[in-house]
Amino acid sequence: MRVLLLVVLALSLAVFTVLAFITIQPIAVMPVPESVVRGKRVWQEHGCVGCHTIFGNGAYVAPDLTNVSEARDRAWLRRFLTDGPIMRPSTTKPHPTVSPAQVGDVLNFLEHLSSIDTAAWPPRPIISPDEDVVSEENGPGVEAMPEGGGGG
Amino acid sequence: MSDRGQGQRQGHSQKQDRVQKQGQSLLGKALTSPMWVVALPFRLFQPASDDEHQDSPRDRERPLYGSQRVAYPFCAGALFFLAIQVILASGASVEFMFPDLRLPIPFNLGRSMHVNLAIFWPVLGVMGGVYYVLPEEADAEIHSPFLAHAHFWLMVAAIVLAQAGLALGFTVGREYLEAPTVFKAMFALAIIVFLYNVIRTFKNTKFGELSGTAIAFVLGVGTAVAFYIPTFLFYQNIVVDEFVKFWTVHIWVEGSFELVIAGLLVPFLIALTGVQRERLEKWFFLEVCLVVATAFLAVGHHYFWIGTPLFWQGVGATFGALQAVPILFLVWTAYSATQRAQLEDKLALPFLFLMSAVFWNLVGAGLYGLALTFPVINLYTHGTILTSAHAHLALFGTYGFIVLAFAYYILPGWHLTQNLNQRWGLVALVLLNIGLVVMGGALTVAGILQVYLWRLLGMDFITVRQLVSPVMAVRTLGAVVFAAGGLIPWTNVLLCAAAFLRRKPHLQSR
Repeated sequence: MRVLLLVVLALSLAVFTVLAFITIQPIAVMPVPESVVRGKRVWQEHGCVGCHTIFGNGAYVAPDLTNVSEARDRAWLRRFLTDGPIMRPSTTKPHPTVSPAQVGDVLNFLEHLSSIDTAAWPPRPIISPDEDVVSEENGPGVEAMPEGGGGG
Repeated sequence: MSDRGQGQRQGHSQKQDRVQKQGQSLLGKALTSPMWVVALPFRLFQPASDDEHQDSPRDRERPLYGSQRVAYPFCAGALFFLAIQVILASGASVEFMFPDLRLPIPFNLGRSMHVNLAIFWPVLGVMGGVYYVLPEEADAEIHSPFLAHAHFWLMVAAIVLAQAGLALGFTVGREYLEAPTVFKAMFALAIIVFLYNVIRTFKNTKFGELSGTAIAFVLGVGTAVAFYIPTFLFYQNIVVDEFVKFWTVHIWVEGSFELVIAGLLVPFLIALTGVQRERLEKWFFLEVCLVVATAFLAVGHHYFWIGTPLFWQGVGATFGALQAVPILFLVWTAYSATQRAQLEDKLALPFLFLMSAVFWNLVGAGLYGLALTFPVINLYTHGTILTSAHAHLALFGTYGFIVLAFAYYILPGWHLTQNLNQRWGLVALVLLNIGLVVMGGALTVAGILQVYLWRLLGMDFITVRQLVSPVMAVRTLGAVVFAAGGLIPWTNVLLCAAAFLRRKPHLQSR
């Protein structure tokens, strides 16, 4: 029984290793633009995953941002990230901001996310599929966009 | 039969005798019905007998090996960090309900601290459990109690510094791995020290004589280290990053520590119920084989939507579903043990915590996880509150309760906590279970509503969040009940230790 256990473990790990290699190898050789990497670092350093999700992974108190760059144009997102509007459902707390120097990298990172094939996730609504998941007037979790644009 | 086997058998025989003698005064022989759960409220409100806070015969005679004492601080430390975790979780839950509330720690960082502790404190407690049963499994003292103490303080330092770093905003920004890398490296070093100590303790045992528990310990801790270290790196590609991230989140919880927990269950069930080792081990080996056969590939159910190849949907769904099988074996193992147990054994607090863990492992981890693991369902439920419900029920339900079982079994052997109040422990057990039912139930209802309103109707995310807030208020109530239950064990330890220190001159002679 002890030997059987070790054999099962070895087989299981071997199959996993092969599948992991098949998965990672083609992805890892694809070059990632420097700006996207910098944007990813900003995303991580700000602890954005403590509220948002990417690919549905993270906290569930703020919207998923996998395809946010498709729902909002670049200028809108730039203003959002630099001006820090009040976050719904709060009436007083502004969204954290990034510096004007960082915002371009973050936007590139978000655009990079939307270019990844996530096997049709997140799903389109199936009962009223014509409606957008993000309301037209307000952004993802934002009470109202502040006037004026952000720099950077 | 080997000396180790004879010694072990003798030790277990003594334990069986002690177990049979235990608890004659608690409920009387009237309650001999197998519906032992019904007796629980009576146990709770039964007037205290004069000798309830005295050492039971079992308490006085254990530990069997001196080096088992190294387990005490691990158990106490786990209870301390559980208390911190429920405070953080309650704060986050209240802030979710009152978004304008300004707490000292921002929500995102508080949540990071919460999810990191959700892994760290059960790990600490499980290691305490391993150290406690290790000498009995090896029929030898722990290789180096000094290393065990060093291991403990290294882990405590890593956890405290990681929490302090997160509170101050030093985050790596990857879910469950947010702690700064240097502190995670300290944690990894502590696990390596632990692994070394475990392996060296078995140095005089031949492979053919190793118990299933011993093998499960080594495999579990070994794979934990192997899969943890790669997560320290910064990955430029987000897909690779997500792929590797789940080696800790999934493989640790559903693979490595499932092995260790399964290994611990055997000696603890033997100790608590007096069941024969042979009865448990035949199922145990099958269970462990199934864990290692399914857990590593079941990580694929986290790879459905992260940009990895589609074959992971087949692999993840298949092996994710098969993961329920070893859980059924575990439940059967526990059930087999209970069939031989006396009523008083079943009413013992560690046993009740253990049965809670088995129940939540089946419901929260097994059945709930099974429901979410198929891609056609997961497409709509992934990234919703349903995942959060599953995580709470599975992680605390299984590992939280099992660590509490170890703690309430082990700590009465420590001079500082020898009079640990079992009644308050029972109150904690009830509150934690009620809190978990209310939290899990409310999160499930909120999750189903969220799936319908957000995923199916396409309503705005925040609008849906506001619509489900009444249900989330019920979750917060459950969280408060749960937090009360989570604070009791550490308070219990503190008061017990304080009382001991006040009476120290009298008790020093013992």
